[in-house]
Amino acid sequence: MKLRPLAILMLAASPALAVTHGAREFYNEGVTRLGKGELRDAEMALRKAAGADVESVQPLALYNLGHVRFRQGEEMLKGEGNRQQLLDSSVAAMNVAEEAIRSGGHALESDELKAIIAAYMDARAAQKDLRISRDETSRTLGLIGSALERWRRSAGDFHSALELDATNTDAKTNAEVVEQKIEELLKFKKQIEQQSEQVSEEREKVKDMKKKLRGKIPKDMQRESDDEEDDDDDEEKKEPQIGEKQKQRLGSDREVSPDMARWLKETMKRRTMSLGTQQEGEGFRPTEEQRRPSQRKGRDW
Amino acid sequence: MKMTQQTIEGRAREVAAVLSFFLVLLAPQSRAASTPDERFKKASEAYAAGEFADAVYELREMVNEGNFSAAAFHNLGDAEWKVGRHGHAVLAWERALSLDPFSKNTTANLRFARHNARVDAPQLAWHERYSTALPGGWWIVIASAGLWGGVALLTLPRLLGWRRADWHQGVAAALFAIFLLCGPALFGTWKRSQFGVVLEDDVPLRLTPTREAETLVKVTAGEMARVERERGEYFYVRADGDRAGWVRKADFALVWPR
Repeated sequence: MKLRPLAILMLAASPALAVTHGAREFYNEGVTRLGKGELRDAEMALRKAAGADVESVQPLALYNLGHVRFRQGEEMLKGEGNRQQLLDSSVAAMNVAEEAIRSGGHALESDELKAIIAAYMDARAAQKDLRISRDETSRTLGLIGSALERWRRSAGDFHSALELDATNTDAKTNAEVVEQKIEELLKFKKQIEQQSEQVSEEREKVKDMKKKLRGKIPKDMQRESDDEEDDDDDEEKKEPQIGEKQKQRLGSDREVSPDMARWLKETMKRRTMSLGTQQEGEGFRPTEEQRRPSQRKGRDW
Repeated sequence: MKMTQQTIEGRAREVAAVLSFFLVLLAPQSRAASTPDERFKKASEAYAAGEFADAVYELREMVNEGNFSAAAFHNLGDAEWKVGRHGHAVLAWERALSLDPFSKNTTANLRFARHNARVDAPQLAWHERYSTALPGGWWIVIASAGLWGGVALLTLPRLLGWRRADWHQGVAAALFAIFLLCGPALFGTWKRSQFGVVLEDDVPLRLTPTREAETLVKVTAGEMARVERERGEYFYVRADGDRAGWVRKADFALVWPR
């Protein structure tokens, strides 16, 4: 009989105990996962622990959540490659472009067809280098953006842990470290953003020079594929309109003249030799998948 | 002549300065001294003249002084809406409706505001809906009258030595029934006291009650949510669609402040 009040009390307290128990379980699971390096699962478990509103668990869960998110940011940055190398390659591409512009200017002054064609080819190569550099930079910027997002959240978590438990000096230190890391990353981001702008300016200059040089090349010596490459170079490839798509599928109604056939033969050969990619150099052969018409680039002749 | 004139001007200036000093001192007192009726009238005039911010000021002062009424809240809601503070407008209308659930104008305004903000009315349980039939205070009065009237009818005849009559028991039973019927309404009223209104747009609901906590979801001005817990400067609220999280008390107000 004496046990009845105790049983009633325990029954009444059971929801509160269950919440505490759940929060602790989630916290323990999160810490275990963090130890194993399973960051995604650790994050999910620790978020549940922090959200359970158990005052004893919440600051610790937030503290560990800060760790998880910092490491997630680090993992993301592993894919960015060597920073100095990235900056150097951009500078090199810009130097090549400068050189191409300079030689293009000289060729235009000399008005010598051979020099113009050579300068035009250099400009094309420079443009390609700049495009590679731009792609690499934008990829890195994407990674940095994601890492920054994680690290900012991490700093927020450490600050929150400190706010809930003012004695947690580790959280304070960690928040400072993360903020410092964020600052460094922002500096680098600014650096590559500036460089990216310069690369864009340089690309515009090269493009202009290419246009000028192209204007000097006789029509019968020009390759239509150059136009396509210029189009490919534009950052935002415009989605063809429905009508245009239809046209592409049907093919244009131009006929291939003997001159054009000869020119095509020549240029295709030249393209493989002078501007061949690594794959082509190694004897690239398209697979069945790549041979499908829908995968083909360029026009139907 | 010139000298005298200057002296007179100088004295006049002194007197004006002293007067203006006293006027400045008296100004807040005279403002504070304005009666609720005067404030209400001022607010109505300001509203009619298109000076909505002044109307808001007057009505707020009036309400904060404890002189609130359904009409004052309704007008405050209108003025707040006009100055673009939609969350505050919904709060004022909700307060007006809790004092006078029969007001068609307030109900229409709330419906319009919610439609405009694309926000649904809060989902109420049956006892909460039942409690909205009458103002909260009325239920207490009716329940008290039912209980104590029933008790009185059963005990007083014995105590006073009156002859027992059947109608005593009949009326007592009816009063107890009324008291019992008030029970769910009182419970519903208490449950509705947990409701509050989001005051600003894009208010974050956070994972933890901290300044830099992770944002789980954002809620819009005028949305209603139920307060489940309270800690420091934060409420833990649950809005429709099971969206829950911690919100700063500055961004959220209970319809019936504690």
